[in-house]
Amino acid sequence: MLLSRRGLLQAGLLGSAAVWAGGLLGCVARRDSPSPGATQRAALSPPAEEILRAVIPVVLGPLLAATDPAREQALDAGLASLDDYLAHLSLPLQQEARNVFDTLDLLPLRVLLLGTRQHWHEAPPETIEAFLRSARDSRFSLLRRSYVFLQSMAVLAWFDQPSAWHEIGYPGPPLGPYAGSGRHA
Amino acid sequence: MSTREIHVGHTLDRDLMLEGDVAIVGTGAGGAISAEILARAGLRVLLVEEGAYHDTRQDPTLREVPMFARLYREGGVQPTKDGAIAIVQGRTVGGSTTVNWTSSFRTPAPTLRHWRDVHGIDALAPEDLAPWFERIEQRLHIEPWQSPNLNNALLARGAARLGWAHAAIPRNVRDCGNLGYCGLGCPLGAKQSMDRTAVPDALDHGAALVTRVRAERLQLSGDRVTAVEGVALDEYGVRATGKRVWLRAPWVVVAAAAIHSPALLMRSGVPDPHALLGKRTFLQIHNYSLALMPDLVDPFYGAPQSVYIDQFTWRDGVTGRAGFNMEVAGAQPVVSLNLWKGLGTEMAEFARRLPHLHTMVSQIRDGFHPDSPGGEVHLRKDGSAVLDYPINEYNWDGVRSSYLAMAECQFAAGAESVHPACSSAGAYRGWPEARSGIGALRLRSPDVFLNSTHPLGGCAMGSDPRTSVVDTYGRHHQMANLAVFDGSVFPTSLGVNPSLSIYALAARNASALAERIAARRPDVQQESRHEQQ
Repeated sequence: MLLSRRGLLQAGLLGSAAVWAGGLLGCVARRDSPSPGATQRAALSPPAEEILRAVIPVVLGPLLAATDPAREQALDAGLASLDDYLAHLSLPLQQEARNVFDTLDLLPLRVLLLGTRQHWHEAPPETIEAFLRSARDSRFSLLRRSYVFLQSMAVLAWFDQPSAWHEIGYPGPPLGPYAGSGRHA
Repeated sequence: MSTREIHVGHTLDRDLMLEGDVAIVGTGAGGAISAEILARAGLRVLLVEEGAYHDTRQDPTLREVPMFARLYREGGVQPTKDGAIAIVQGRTVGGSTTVNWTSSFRTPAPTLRHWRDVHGIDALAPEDLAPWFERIEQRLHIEPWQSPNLNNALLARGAARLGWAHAAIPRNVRDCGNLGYCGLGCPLGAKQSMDRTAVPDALDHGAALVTRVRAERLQLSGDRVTAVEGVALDEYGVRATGKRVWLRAPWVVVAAAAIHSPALLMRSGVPDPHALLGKRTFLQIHNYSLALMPDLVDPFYGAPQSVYIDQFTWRDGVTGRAGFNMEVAGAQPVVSLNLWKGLGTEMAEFARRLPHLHTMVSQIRDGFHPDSPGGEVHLRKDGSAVLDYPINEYNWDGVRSSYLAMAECQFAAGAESVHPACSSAGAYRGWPEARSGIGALRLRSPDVFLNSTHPLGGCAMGSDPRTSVVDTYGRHHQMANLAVFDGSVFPTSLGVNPSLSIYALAARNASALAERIAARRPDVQQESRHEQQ
């Protein structure tokens, strides 16, 4: 069946949730206060950070081995860089990004998209990867847009980190504080 | 040289009122060149810029993400209304000239002929504009670049093998170090961008610059603009600090670029009797083709663009199917890898081939065909601008044709595989496979990566007020002392990178404005004559 019932539900709910997220989330329990030890962010909301911490390792696969402590530091640095980037966007765009994360964090959406009641940080990588693949190939543009958005966030957060460069063969800039050994002209 | 007068929005502790002869909104290609000419004519010029004055020589971190955040509007990904196209505009002193890749082309003759034939613009023939192009080419050291990096040399190789028209790209650089970081603001000050040339020159001739202030509206009285009213922004350039700025001058020039110039006029309630403001905004949509080469390309180093292919720009006639020019896109990891929407292992495998990546870009001209009306600028509730640009069959035809041409060129240059920047496209191992694969490719948003560094139009020029916003000297048809000197005045896209076209037209129109003011002001006239010697 080309058009699965679950697919329809996913798209419909994501659509209406996106529209209503702002108002709805004002009424339901929000995790406005960061959990103990969490970094204060300029733009990234707690749900955004939780989702990105779950999604980025899946997007980057072997480039980011989640168990490696150095990589964990790089992920922290990447999220800080992404937070600074988002904080320079206009307020309408910051709000739009926040709405996407808030919507993806709604319990009914998690059940539909991930197939589990678990929070994003509890969901196994295979579950998240399955969601990302189905979103990428979905017939619903809203889901495909979610995929492109999350994937781009991972690219922005990761590939600007000096610790990511060796793995992808980028020797770094030719001058300045991050200058690499270089084979530049 | 006296002290330069610069007011920084986020440091203002009280409202600011400046008075002068000409107020200019925007410091990009149009605003800065105009400021230099008007200041050198002895006029007191007031410049307002939403971005900051970022000296990229003092802070050459050469990291992509912080520079996108600080030098570009919306981090370089200002989305169209449906999110299908990311628009890239500078938001810094110098505007997009500070972050562009230096490609500097004269307006193509077919474009100017089309404007004459279809839009009634008869004063802008190639020979009319030639002296202005020459003036800017000298001012900004624009010359064809003769030492392409391998990324560009591969483009030339592919084109030569296929017998396609190609040539060296003229660049506005002086003592260029061939580093390849133009998009992050030149760390050497070699790029002759407006922040390094015309803006400081205007400041040295008595202009005042206000940064980190967003022009909110033009204050109107009858058929005159009495002031530009702005709001000071915080250090992020996001939230208003509460301080306000007024620039009062008998002449007002708007040069906030496509999308944002028409939006300023719309917010201000400038008369628009024929509902033209913000309409016919064009993007010259860019799509991309990635190839893996056997050679070590190192696309992140060397002048990003130095060869272009002109074979397909006018292939079906000016008013025919969507034509496109082709260049390479050479950039650092984030820009390069953001074109690839892979996941997990396939993402990692692709990213590890970055040094072998060859990326082509096509710029698909729009606005010449009846089925290519472009987009419309809308205002959000908060007054900010968003472009509604529905992608139609005309655009998709250009996307498919250019995917095919780029793949053919990359295989001719020796590519091992070609990957259109489209999340549903496969990897093609040879031209026959690519030809059938791309022919059958489903093209839809957001699978196809599309962006634009060339937003144009929305305040179209022309001699007929029923079909244009400003006349061919940029003067507003309804307002007596308002002019628009930027890329928003073009009635179509151009078929090339627009920077030199904007510089030249602004130089012509600002010089005419200086003459006009001088005719009423003997002091200015003398200054003007003196400077022209």
